[in-house]
Amino acid sequence: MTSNQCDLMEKFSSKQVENLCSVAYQGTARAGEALSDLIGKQVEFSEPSVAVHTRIEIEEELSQFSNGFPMLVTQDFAGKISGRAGLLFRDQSGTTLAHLLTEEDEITPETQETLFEIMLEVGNIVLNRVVGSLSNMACDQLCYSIPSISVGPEIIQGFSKVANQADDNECANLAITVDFNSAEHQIQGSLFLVFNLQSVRLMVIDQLFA
Amino acid sequence: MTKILVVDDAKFTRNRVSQPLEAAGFEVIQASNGEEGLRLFEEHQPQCVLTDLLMPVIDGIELITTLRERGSDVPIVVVTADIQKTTREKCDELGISGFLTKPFQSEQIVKQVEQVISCASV
Repeated sequence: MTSNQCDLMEKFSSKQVENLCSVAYQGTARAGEALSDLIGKQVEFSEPSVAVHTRIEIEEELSQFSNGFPMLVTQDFAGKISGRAGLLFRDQSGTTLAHLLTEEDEITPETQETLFEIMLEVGNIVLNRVVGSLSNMACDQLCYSIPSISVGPEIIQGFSKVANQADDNECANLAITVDFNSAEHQIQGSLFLVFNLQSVRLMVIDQLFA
Repeated sequence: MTKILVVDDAKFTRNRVSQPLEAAGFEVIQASNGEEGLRLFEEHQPQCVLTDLLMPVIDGIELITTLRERGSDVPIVVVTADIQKTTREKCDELGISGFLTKPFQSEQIVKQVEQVISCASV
């Protein structure tokens, strides 16, 4: 068991961890459907990981992917629980996906605005599937922010301050992470769901899934 | 020619919605947010409105609410990424005619528009 998993078990009961994993599985499965529909081919999703991370740990995780031309689309959600969802496309995967969707041979720097707009809409669609599943499971209404995009080294700041969270590097976040891969189209990335741990109060989790 | 107003802040989606409708013989007017949508609605008096929900300036819920408050019974189809049951319920309460979740197939858009226009004309 990793230290993060130990933290998870310290902060939540086994039943609560089970509920969180259930959210992770259902949400990422719905996201996988949406991404597969967009690409037109099955996208493989890894098993979701549920763990407790500090802000610094999340930034370290993202820094692994900051080379090349990665793109991160983030969207905040707020309701009984609040947090930030993120869809990361590694290397040239975002550009590759935009080519597929527009059927354009090449997306040049001149058409970068178009590329970002497409990726924002893709992020909006995929992230809404994950967060919407959480909302439906919890019978709650969540409000969403307009998605935003960061590119290259800027992605490291993508989760630097999760919505409604104090500006504290050591502040604990509950993170659900899953990787995806479309080997045929060489599209790889990760999906993050980061909750402000203060908002995921034990009572709230128990009430949501009662 | 039957006019359709398409309201979405993503040009990519506006085009994905508009192209099959134009191919099916509809005249499509595009707006990038609810405010522009309301202005173009007054100007063109379309027979059907397709709108996103999450948009800057004036969102889809406010657009629908305003149209209904102004006494319009134009058929409205919501085209959104939001899969929340509570969102669907809120839209139904506002008297929408259809609800499609993104991503959608071109055929779904045309079929839905033809259906709601046909029901409205009965």
